[in-house]
Amino acid sequence: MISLTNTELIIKLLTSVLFRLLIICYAIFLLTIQTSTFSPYVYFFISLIYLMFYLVTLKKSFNFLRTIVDFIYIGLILYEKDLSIFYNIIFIVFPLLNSPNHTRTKRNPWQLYFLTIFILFILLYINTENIFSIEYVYITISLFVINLINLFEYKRSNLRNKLLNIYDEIDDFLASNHYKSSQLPHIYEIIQKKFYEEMNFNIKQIISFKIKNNGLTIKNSSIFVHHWNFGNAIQALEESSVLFNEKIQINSLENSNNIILKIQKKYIFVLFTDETNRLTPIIKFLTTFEIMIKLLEKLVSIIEFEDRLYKRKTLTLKQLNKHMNYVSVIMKSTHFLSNEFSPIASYFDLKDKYFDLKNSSDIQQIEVASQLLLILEDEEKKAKESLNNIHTKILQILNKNENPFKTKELEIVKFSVIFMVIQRLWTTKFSTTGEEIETQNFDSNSDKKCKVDIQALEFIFVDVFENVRKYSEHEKHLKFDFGTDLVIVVSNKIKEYKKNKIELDKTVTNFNNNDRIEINKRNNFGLSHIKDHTQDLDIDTSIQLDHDNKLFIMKFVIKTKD
Amino acid sequence: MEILILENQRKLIENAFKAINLLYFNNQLKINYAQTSQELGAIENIEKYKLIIIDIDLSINSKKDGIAIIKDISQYNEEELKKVFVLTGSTKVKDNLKILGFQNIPVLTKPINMEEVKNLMLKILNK
Repeated sequence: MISLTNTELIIKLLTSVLFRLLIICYAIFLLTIQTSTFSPYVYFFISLIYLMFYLVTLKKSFNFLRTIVDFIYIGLILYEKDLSIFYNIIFIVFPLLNSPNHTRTKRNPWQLYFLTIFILFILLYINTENIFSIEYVYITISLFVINLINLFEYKRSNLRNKLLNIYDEIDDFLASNHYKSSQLPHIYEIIQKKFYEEMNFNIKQIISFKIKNNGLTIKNSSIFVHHWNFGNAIQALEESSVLFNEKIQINSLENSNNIILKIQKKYIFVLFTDETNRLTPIIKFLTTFEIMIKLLEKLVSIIEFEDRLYKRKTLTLKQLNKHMNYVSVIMKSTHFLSNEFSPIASYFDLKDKYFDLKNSSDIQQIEVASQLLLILEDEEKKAKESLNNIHTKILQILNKNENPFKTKELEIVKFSVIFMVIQRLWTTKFSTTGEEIETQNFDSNSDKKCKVDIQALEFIFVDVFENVRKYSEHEKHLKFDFGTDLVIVVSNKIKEYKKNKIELDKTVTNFNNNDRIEINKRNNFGLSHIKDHTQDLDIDTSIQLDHDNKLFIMKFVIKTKD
Repeated sequence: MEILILENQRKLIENAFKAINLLYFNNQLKINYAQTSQELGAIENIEKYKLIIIDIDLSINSKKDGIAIIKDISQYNEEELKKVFVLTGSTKVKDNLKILGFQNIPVLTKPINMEEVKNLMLKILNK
């Protein structure tokens, strides 16, 4: 059932109150322009009761009762008034005219019609004391026509509600955390179920295609489709967006109970309909086509969204592949190196043995030494060859251009984008709200731009925050200063300060020393790889120790780029 | 005494084994090399060798790799596995052999440690 939001309820309430006020105002108008049966005080009293009754039942859903009371009030106002005058008789039609404002779910178009007729007949009878008059018939017909007009509107808004209903269910499903490769099959199920339940329209299958270069590509459908042949329908679709009961082939089965729709000139949906009656589905379609087209347009946006996600996934897989290849190259290299080292290791081993034997006093051993010398000389040649091979291999590995982990994709981004990326990393890592993150000069400078590789930046800060998590004690802080350049400061209380103080001092001195970057890389003083990555991105990084407050403070400066 | 070394890159280890033969076996060993499983021929041929040293990674042209040859020997006569040890540059081989049930076959890694190789050879050949 459609859920009424708070806004809708307020609007309904307002229109309801307005309507009743209008009735009372019009009643007063009618009473002032003509003579009435009762004294003004009676009418005043009746109006008061009417208003009070309405206010009392306001919050409760006594819709039918309120309608009855409306008619009673109108009837009392029109009692013994001349119903041949337009401005009098129109009063009785007010509820009928107001019917579109009624709550959708509780609306019954014929209820008001019969109540109107009933009150009118009573009033006419009171005036003319004549039951059998042709007037009644004429009145019945005219009111009937008014009600018919109302009915059209009622049907249309009903249809609209049904569409919103289906949208609601689809949106609920999309928002839920179902992890599937595609959400379309389930959405098709929802559509089929809803159309059958609410509109008695049986759609047996929904198959979707994308139009591509004079051909059709199958998209996710409610059944698995591996083969299709549209025959003449293809040409027909160039001229028309809707086709009925065309002869097509799906999965080598012929089907001619279908509706084919072309949406946004790019997508085709084939709906398989009931085989029993060829005409009914067409009629059903024509009455619901507004909903159907809107739904299919929504489906198209979901299909396109999933396509974009898929493209991104393949790009990521391609990158992953590169990384995997690189790792595999490294592993093969270590295998290669172990083999090539053999002659080098043997050479030195044999050399030692040779000199031991040569310097012995045993003639036999000296003889063996001379034989060993031949082997040794040959091994020396092989060792030199191996050294060459190893050298070449290592150059290959060290060549950073081939290292996929080091590729940079620089792009111009706003400071605010960097803020959002790092803020999200922080709040996710430490499960906080983000309110504790300090920002300065955000309003004036957040639109400034810089050139970074966002992914690499994320990579760096994942590392930084992991260090914070590991080495901090309770207190940690993140600050952004949007000045000339973007300055990010990460600080935390040092765990076991006394114990780590000296080591940290050394680490900090080394880290900040830009003259020793290459040496630090080699020696891996903990944070050197962060320094290495930030250097690559031209981000200045430094660390400070606040000994008084036992704080470890890391500062990053990302320069503005116009 | 004949020994067989199944190895793809003979020249990288040849001198080490020549030296071991000279220094510890009085040049008594006849060292045979094979780069492919085809060169081994019929599996019964292993009977004539007192020691078989296998590198898992053989020539591209080899129909079988070292692991497959070990499996063949095992199927032929499990006792023959006692004269086999593996010499390899790859670190994963020991685990692979364990998974296949060949945890008793000794595995030595390259680069060759002549002392280790010599000791193992003596152990097997003196049995």
